[in-house]
Amino acid sequence: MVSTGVSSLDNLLGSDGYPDKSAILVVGPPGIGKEALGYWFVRSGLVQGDYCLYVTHRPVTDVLRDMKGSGISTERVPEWIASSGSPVKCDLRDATSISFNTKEAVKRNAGRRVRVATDVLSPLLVLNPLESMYNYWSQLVAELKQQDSVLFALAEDGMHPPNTLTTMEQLFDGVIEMRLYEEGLAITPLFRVKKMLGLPPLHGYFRFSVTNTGMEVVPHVH
Amino acid sequence: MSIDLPTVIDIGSTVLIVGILVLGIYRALEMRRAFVGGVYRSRATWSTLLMLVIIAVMLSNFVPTPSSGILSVVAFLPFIALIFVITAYGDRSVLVAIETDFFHRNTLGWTRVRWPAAIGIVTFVIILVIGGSIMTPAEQSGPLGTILNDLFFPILAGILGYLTAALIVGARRSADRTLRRSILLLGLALATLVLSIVVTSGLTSGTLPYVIVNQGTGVVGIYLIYRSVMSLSPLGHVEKQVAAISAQVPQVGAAA
Repeated sequence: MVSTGVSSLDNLLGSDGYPDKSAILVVGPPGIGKEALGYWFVRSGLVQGDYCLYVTHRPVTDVLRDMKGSGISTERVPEWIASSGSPVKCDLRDATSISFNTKEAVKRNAGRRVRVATDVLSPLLVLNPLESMYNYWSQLVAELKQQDSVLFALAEDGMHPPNTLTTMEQLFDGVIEMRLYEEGLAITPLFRVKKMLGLPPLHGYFRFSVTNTGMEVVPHVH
Repeated sequence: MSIDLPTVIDIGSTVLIVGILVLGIYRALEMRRAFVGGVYRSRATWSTLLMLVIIAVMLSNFVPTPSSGILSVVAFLPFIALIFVITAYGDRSVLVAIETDFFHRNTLGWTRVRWPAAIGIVTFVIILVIGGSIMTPAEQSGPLGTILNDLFFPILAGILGYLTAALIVGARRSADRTLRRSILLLGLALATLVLSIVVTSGLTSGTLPYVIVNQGTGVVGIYLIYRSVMSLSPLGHVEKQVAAISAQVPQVGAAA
């Protein structure tokens, strides 16, 4: 098992975190804090000596600033494939090169445990037809899982037609949904684990909050 | 004692507008608390500020103020603040729309227009306050003051009209569907404001047609702002049965 980097989430997922050799999808609207889960996942890997790769359509400086904002030390950083500030560039118009560079980086680190975090799924889905993206991610997920790696992908909830994400969710071993919920007049940020490999269906909502010292996850009582 | 119809419509719509605004402020603050992303927190903050200033403007209408002197300027402050907040929030929204457009297109040349527009508004408000009839009785303001007063609303409508167009076009170009909807609704709210300024300029203040147009566009505009706030994030509804089960999960601890 691979730690999520958030102890309360590790406990929730059966005390150890995400399954080995798996692909995890975190779905949620923009601004909700999905990235923070990715940052904690990468940070946990860096602490444990795993090879960590962050594939992003944003500049490295933006991601580092966000990491600091989430209370994560940037003394140790992952290897980057980013739109700027990295030796290997992430060009959204060239999905093939993103996939190729990701697989190459993982292959170079064969023998180590690998963590890949990425936020390019949604932009690529916007720029390309769903069918080709389904094949693209299906192939990428399969190849990464052949190595000892865990893929952590973020998807924007409000960015795609409703069936798009449902289709993509089928490719992933675990799906976590984060969103704001209306309860009377109050608005509460909650998440739920829609599915997770090796776990029975987890019913229920969990309240989460991202602070500059970590992330808190507690059961939500309606 | 009889109350005429325009007054009834005026008071009724004012109560309705303030009610929508108070609810909107509460929900914008709730969303601000929930958001982690800077852009969304910032939009929730701006929305709160905008709605607070609108309430201040509406309440200031019920406070009797002198028609000249320094106190008239103080009474005019909420309205000046409203102009600045609307243009600043609109400007931020167009910039966010440009940023979230995959091709970063300069919507209606906004990055070139924004500073001249801002300087124009600030200059005109200062000239209006100092040289116009706000601090001076109408009969003493002279031809310059009259011209400035006559020019104020057409110029304001022109700038807001351009901002509205930039918001609507920018929203259509944004790749972020959530932001697109929120910015589009803000653009439509501004459009009702511009429409109100243009239509009511041809009507006599206090008459039934004036009140209907003024308050009608006001209610629609405020509701659109409220919808814009609520569109900052897609909202779900907790399924009660599932929520009850979550209460039984015992092993979840504290932060990492």
